[in-house]
Formats: sequence, C-alpha cells, structure tokens
Amino acid sequence: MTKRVRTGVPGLDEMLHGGFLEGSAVLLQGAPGTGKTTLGLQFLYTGIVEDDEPGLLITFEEFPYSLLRDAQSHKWDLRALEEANKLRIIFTSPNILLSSLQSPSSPLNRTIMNWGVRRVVLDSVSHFTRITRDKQRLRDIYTTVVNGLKREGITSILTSESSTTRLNPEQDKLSYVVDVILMMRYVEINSAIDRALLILKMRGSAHEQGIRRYEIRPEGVHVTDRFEGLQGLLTGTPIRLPRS
Amino acid sequence: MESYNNLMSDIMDEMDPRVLEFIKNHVTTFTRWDTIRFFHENPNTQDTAENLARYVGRSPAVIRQEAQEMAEEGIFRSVKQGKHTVYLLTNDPDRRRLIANLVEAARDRTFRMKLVYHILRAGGQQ
Repeated sequence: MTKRVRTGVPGLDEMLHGGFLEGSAVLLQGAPGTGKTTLGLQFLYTGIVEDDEPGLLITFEEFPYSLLRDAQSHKWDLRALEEANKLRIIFTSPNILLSSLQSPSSPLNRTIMNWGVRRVVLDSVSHFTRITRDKQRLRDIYTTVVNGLKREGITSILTSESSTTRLNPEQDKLSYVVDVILMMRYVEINSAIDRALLILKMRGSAHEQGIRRYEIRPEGVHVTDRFEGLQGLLTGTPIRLPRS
Repeated sequence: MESYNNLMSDIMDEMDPRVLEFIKNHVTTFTRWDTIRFFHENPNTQDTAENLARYVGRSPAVIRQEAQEMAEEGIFRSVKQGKHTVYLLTNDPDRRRLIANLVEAARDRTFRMKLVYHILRAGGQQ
C-alpha cells in the first residue's frame, strides 16, 4: 500500500482521504492571492516539523527573503529550518532548473540526494512559458520536471497561475503529466469574496468530490465546510438554489 | 591637507579589520556590493549572470565580468551546467559569516558612508 503524504492543511487531508500518494506530482492551480504559495509552504513546513521529511522550495519570481518574511507571519520559522539543513529555498530561473534536473552532479541534484529530500514545491510552473510557447516543447519540459522529481520518489506541488476554472492550453499539457490537480479560486457570494477549493483529479485514489470553503488564517490555510445550496461555484458567481 | 586626508582615512577605516579587508579587496564597485547583498538575502540562488543582472538591475555585461571575477576570488562558486554558467554563493561558512557581518553593519548610515568612501577610493563608480 502506498504511503500517504499529509499536507498539514486541516480539512484538505480529509478531502484527499489521508493525503497525497507518496511520489505524486500535484498541480495547484489558482489566481494570484488565493494562497497557493502559503499552502505550498505549509506542506513543506508540516513535512519537516511533523514527519521529518526535508523539503525544497524552488521559486522563480518571488525572492526568498520575502517568502521568509511571509512565512514568519504564520509563525513558520523557515530560516531556522534552513540553518538546520531541513529546508532550502532555491531561487533560480526555469532554464537553469531544467538543466539542473538533467545534470546528476548539479547543486540541486546533490542537495536532493545528500539531504534525502522528500517534498518539493515549485512556484510556479507558469514561468516555463518564458522558455517556449511551443506546445510539444512545453510538454517535454513538464515531463522532464515531473520525471526528475518522481525519479527520487519526491512528492511535489507545482503551482500555476490561473483565474479561470479551465486549464489554459499550456497547463493542459501539464494536466496529463501530473497525478493530482487541486484548484483554489475566488467566488462571489452575497457581494463578498469567498474562497473555494476542490480536487479535480487524483490518480490511484478516491477523493472527496465536493467544493469546500477555505480560509487563510494566522496558522495557515484551513479548509472548512462544503458550500451548500449554491450552484455554479466554478463560474465565480454562483446562484442560490431555491429551498425545497 | 595630507594630515586631513590621513585623519579622514583613519576614520573611514574604523571598523572590524576583517570586514575592512574584505571591502578593500572585494567590494570595489557598487555592482559588486549590490550582487553580494542580493546573494546574502537570497543565499540559495542558482542562476546565470544574465538573470542576476535582471535581479539587481544592472547591465548583463558588467555582471558577467564581476560575477566571474568574484567566483575567482572565492566569493561565489561557478558551475558549468550544459551551455550555462551558473553562479552560487560560496559554501565557506567563514566567508558567509563575514558577508553577513558586512550586510548587517551596512544597516547603519555611518557605516554605509564608510563603505561608499572605500568603493569610490577603489575607483568603483559603477
């Protein structure tokens, strides 16, 4: 039986029936500000602190010092974890990551091997379109990245920017390669913005089909209850169903 | 005038001698200062000179030369990866600590003035 990798996000592990299957590649899709990076940090932090699983955060655009500051607001002392060689926040660019994964002696691969890294967050795969827009080439890139991580049995979260519920053409290529697709999105209810999370796909495991509400609290992302009595949540502007 | 210059030089040299030596030998341009500070704040950066230039807002040609020189001086490491040369901060803990002391000291305005003085004295206008 494949081991489950807990995310540490209250409510989400329940939706995932215990967590991701170990070695899964997870596409985490959402608009800016929906909490993708926070969820990714929570996944890494939980892995290190509760399960003793070293982690890597690979970021293409957000500077590590600002990530450390943001994490501090959730009381996650990532700097201490870095000093303890349990976490490394790598700032690089898409083409260098790609060549790193293909080179066994690269600093990245050496860290993965030497530390026994079990969890990786890549923030975000949307930046691979900086290398190419060619669909076939992009699919090859995604395959290289996902296989490079799977080869080591790493469970990875790949964040991706999207403001719609549909996968855009570039991400569509990625959806074939990943095992799990999670979606975080804004919904407008009663003239206020709420946040919804759902699991679109999970290979090799049953999972909850419902769309749940989530909040970003001081302790991190917290998935709460299902949206009841509403239809069309994925449009962003649901309608209330008449009471029967 | 000479005694004034000597006095000025003495004042500007008033700091941890190891930090002073590091500044005089390695922080000789403002580009170097920006790049060292960037790596201190983001110590696990692994990238090309062209991308580093983008992050610190400097000319790629200048960063290419400075990064290569600083790699030869042991401040950075350079790794050949396919067709790319990738730069990383040195792994040497003593040197990392020295850089941390320098960046920490530079939070103080008076220290920054001393740093600027030494960079200008080294001819590092850029």
